Amino acid sequence: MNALLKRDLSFAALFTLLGTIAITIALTQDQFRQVWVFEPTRLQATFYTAWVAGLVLGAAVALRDRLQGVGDYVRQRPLSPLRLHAGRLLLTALVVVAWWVLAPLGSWLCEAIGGRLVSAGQPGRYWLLLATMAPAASAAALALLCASLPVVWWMQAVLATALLFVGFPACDAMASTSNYDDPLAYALAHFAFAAGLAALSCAFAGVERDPDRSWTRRVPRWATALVLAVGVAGGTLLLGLFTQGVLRSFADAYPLIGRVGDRYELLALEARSHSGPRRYRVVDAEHQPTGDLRSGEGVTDSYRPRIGWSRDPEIEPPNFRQADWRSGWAALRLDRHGFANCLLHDTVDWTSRFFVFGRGDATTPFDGRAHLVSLGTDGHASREVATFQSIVWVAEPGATEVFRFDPSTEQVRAVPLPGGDRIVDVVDQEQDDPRAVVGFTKPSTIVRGERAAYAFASDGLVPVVPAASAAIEAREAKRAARRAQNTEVRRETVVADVLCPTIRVVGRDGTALFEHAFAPRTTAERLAYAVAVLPSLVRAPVLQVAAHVFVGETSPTRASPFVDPVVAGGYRTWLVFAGFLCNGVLAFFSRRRLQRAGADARTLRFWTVAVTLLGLVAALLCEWFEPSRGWRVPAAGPKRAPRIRTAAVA
Amino acid sequence: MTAILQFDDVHRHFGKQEVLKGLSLQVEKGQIYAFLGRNGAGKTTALRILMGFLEPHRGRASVFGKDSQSLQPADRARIGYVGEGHLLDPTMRVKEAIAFERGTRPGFRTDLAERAVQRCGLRHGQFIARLSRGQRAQLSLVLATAASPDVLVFDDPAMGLDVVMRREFLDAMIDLLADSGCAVLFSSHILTDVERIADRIGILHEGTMLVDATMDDLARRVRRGILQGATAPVLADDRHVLRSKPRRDGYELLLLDAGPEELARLARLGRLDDLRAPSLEDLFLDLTGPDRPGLLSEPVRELALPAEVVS
Repeated sequence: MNALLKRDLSFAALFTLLGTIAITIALTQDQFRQVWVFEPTRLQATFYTAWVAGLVLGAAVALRDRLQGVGDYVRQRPLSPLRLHAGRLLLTALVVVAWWVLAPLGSWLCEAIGGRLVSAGQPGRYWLLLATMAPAASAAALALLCASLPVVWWMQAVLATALLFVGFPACDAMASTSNYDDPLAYALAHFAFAAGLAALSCAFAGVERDPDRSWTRRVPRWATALVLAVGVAGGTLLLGLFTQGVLRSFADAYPLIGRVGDRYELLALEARSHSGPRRYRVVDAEHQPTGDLRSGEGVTDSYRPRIGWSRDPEIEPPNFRQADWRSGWAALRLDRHGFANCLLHDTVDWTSRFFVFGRGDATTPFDGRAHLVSLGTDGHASREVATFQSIVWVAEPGATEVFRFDPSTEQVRAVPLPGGDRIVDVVDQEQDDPRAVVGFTKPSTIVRGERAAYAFASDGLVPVVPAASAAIEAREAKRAARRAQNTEVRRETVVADVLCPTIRVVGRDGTALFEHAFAPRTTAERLAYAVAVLPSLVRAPVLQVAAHVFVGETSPTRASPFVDPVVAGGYRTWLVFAGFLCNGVLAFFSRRRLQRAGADARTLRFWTVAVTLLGLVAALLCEWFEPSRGWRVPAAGPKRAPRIRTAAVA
Repeated sequence: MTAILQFDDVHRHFGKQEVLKGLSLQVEKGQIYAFLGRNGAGKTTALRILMGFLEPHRGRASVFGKDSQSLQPADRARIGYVGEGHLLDPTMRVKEAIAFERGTRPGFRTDLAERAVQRCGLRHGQFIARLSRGQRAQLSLVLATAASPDVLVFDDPAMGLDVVMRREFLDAMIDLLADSGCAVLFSSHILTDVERIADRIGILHEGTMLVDATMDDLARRVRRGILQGATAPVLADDRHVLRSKPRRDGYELLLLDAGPEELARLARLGRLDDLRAPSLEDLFLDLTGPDRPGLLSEPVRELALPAEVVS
């Protein structure tokens, strides 16, 4: 192992250097203050750089010998394939660990050389930083595994993408609490993912791609099953996205429920014009046109029979804190525990100081809804960055006092609201408000109490004169009126079937103003319906049964991509059976192909069961993993002896 | 004697192309076996199967009596291998390559390697990427032999070397293998080299062995001559006439085990001139040469059916 590591020393050094430089640059981009002074929030650049660097490293380690053309030179050594592979894993792990140590060190050194904030840096932030960089390990293991798989390069890329989009969100989900990710859980999830991938990659140690040999003869069946599961998960994810797209456009095939005057009608879009208003044709309950036309201008309210859709899956950096950036006083913010983190940066002697304070002392946190407000020398209060001379206030909704920060004691002092009022909210006064009364020249932050509105002053809160208060009240009244108008009627989904929903429009008094059970009734609707159910036929039947039996009514908005909303909630049992039938046919053809190719009974059984239960993706993987040429056996014939032969000496 | 290396009816195809069609041969202890064949004949495929890098579709290749597909590290420690193009890690220096061998081969003799490297004029600090082809070939040979293996497998070790380097390489090979008693299987295109060092040769053509014989046996049994003024066509359908190539004034014949009776029979058809043992190159060309007529050759008649001829 030592010899292998020594051989890889220059390679490891190169990747350590490149990776360290890349991650250090990313850390610099995420700013020292964000990374080292305050608790790291979403460190976009660091997160993406770390996992992309991991991917590159894993792929390079796996492909290095092949690309240099020294594969056989290494393989002919008296070392088992597993040991050679373990050497690669160890090399990858060492480089990643070096990144985790050197890149933060580099970031710190950069600040020490050219920055001003190093004295305020918190070395304890390293653990949160490490959690952000943890995906480097799982990405490296993922690339190492996929590049070691004995399949064609594009298949390796497809499986790597599938693993990435299945594995990373799974790690996110394992670490997510209500508002932020638990750093320890996040790091552990990624380490566990990396360990699992590394263990799986050992199953392929020493197995080279050979399209003329059957995959299942050379790879352990459990490893095949795992790769199959990953492939099916990735394929199902893609099918899920496709289903969402189809369902999104499917709702447009139905007429919409429109309000014309005081009546609700079913309206089918007649013509879409870019210049003039839209024209609708009124249809009856059977979706047949009645002959009446409506102009789009006359339709005051409309409801589409759409049950919703989820956002596309994406890989996002972890969020390790609850509260957003609230204020700046040099730099100041509330952390996820409710403490105010303060960075004092003196521009006279260029010293920085970081400390934490709470409600009265450093042990009692502020309320989670607290706001930091800084009051400038011009009397303008803001939740944005303030100057060094600003006065910082902390206001908690529900409290009867506000807190003024005193830099000399590094603590806050409670100041009661005038007249024992209680804080309702902290709002930003808008541009069009009459602010002359409080002397502001730009939008300012004020406190809304139960009895009055207050502006921040140097020694406490000052009631805002009625003019300003009236303006705020008027604005709020306008908003409330808008909200009331919106809630005059509401849409109720009586049957939440994504393809055949029943929609009811209910008035404020609870009476049903209109109700319609949507179902495909016209040729166009039936055609759209057929297209919408098509993806369900090729999804994994085992997942379809699970969605049909165990998942309640759902929508593309709420459903996991692995759940088919078309059959979830017990809808369309026939479609589940049809799916089984389709995939059974696929399994039959896959089996027949393998049988003709000469596959053994065990392999036939394996793929028949896999395709029947896992559907189209398994059938495709069967096609790629088990090409017919992989089973071709040369015809047996008489041995052909050389024309000139000297018999061996006995 | 026991066969150290053995191919037994090995078949291998790539897609629809049959590369090996029932290859059978064996190499005994202390024997130097030259594996000859034109480009694409299947030599490298056969050697890769022997090393366990590639699986055969039928048949079995074995080393020390063990299936090549299940060679253990201990078995591999007894095999020295130089792949096509003398591939060594280009990022290493010479000394690092030696250290790598020492660290991964239990029986590697550093002193032997150091001496050999010195004799070859290589410097320890030289990067392998900067070595000439000849130097790389020599280093590969040194590294493969310094572990005192029982078996050496070379895949075209003289490829890309000029005459001088080839000669140096061969001398080094003879020097290193002298009295080592190890079995050597090497493929080559350079037939003059093969004549110098091989005990036995195998000629592989389109996946099939045409010749598997000792050099002495070939020299004794194979004759090449010209039949001038032939009065009747001479066809290569006889077990003694391996090839009959029409010329303007007769036939060029390749004869096997042609005794006095056969020679007398041919002499009755015309004047048999220039009868002598062919060089290995001539034999190779006659057996594997182009079957289609070229500018300088007449159409060639089919070779005799492959009736086995064993001495």
